[in-house]
Amino acid sequence: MKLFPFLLPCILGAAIAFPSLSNAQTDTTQQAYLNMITYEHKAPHQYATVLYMPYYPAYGMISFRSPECTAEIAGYIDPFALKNKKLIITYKLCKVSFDITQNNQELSNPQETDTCQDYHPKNCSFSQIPSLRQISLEKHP
Amino acid sequence: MIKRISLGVLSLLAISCSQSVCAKTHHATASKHSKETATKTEKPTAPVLSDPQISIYSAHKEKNNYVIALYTDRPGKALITYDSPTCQANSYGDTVLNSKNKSEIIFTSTEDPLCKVTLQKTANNQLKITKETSACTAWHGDFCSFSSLSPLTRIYPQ
Repeated sequence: MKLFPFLLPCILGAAIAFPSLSNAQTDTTQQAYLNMITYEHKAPHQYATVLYMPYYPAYGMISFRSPECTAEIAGYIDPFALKNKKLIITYKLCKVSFDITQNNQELSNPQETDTCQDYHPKNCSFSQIPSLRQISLEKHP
Repeated sequence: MIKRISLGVLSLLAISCSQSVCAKTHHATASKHSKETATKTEKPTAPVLSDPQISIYSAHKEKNNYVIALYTDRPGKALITYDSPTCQANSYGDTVLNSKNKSEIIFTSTEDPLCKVTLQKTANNQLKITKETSACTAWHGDFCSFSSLSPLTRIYPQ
């Protein structure tokens, strides 16, 4: 009986800890992982999307459409650049890069190498893509 | 002494009950909040162009994760990512519509043009991989195939 005052905090601690542990496990199992990150820009007569897989071997794709311009490439992702908040998609000699900003919610400042001219009309380029916002793909069937 | 013990047991019961109630309430609040957020993010936006919106299809079963992203209504680029306990395969390439069957999309891998995957659009916004060429084995190994996947459901746009 003398042990009761010492045991009481232990029992209380266990009673507090176990429900929260079981909740944490449920949360983890409910989390779904999706190997695809998608950004989009929608405006009247202009649509752009950039998708990439964050896990190796990773590929990405860019599509930019307007009445004057149709430009699409798909290629490799540079995994080292991703760590530095840069998304670089490479197809053959063409490299297109974006800054990943706003806590991963936005792609901005697109830049392309001269060799990308082979993949779009002369009057437009991937560098003209406006900032893109990440879209939520949280729901799964 | 017995009184003290019974008091202790009662207090323990009271604490654990109140906590489970609190946890449930918190969980309910959290789900309600996430539901509200989801409703806000899912608010449909008017299509700005008739054609170009990306379509993303996914199937998700336990540890398996398969995603395909593509344009369905016209020739375009596509990404495929496939991850299961026995198979991992990522690919990118071009899609064209079968001229004889407009609901059939043929994906050709850029890295190996001999790898072709046929996708069939079905009712209820689903996509079924109906066949693939043997060259695709190089991308996902011998123990599985793209065509063994369960039908994929469109997750974007919903």
